[in-house]
Amino acid sequence: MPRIVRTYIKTALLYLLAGVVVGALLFVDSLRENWGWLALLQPVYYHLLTVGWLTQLIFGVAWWMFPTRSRECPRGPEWVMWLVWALLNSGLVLRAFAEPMRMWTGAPALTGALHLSSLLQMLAGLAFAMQMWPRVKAPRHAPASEQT
Amino acid sequence: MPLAARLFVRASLIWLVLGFTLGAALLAAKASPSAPWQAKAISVHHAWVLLGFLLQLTLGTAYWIMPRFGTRRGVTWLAVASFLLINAALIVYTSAVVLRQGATASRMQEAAATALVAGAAAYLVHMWPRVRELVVQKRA
Repeated sequence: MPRIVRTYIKTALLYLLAGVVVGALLFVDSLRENWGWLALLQPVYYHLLTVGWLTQLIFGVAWWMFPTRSRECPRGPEWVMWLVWALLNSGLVLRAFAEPMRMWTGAPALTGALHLSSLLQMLAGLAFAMQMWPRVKAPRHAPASEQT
Repeated sequence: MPLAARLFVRASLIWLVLGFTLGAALLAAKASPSAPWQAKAISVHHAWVLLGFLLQLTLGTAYWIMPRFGTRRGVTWLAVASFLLINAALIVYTSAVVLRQGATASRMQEAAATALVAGAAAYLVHMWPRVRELVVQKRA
């Protein structure tokens, strides 16, 4: 398993743990009653699991397993996937802190952080889609079973 | 990668870009006072990302790698029908949200829901027999 794929999957596992911990805190009514600020973590919980865990796991495994582009560059330029990893995780971590803080404090300074977070995650999705699109293809000398 | 898998995966990549773009717009808009469009857009964002991207990438990859019947992948048209129904549902649902309210929008939402369920059912019927023990035929 290439190093970059291991990085994606291990990072995804960390988000799985973080998301489940936040979710577990949100499950407990008594905690939500005593710590009203917990409700601010609801969107963070959703995105830790869907983006941090699920999407990141998919990105890593798909890059590893999908049909190769060419013999010269089987999976495409690896630096793009490192860039996707950096964009996705910096955007997500920034969101995890800035979003609840912005809702709690209303501080205008955090507006820029939210805008930056949204841009980073959007660019990550776009870069991944562009990286993978050429790899969604039928094999060159495929039998009929592989065509359909 | 066979045709049905390519259809699902390419569609999922398109919905990924759309869903992340809408999500980025929603997150950026959180910094501002809540606008009416945000409440509706959130449900569309959920649909695009969960059903458009995550679900279809899973369906396409499963279609590709799950056990076959010799060289065939079972009833292929069911998988293609599933693809058409799920994506039609997403487009119709999005259109209904844009229309906002009224009888037409309600009917469109119902149609989208029906298509989505039909698409899931078609895929289940296609995939069920493929969830089986892999038989490796030994050469004599």
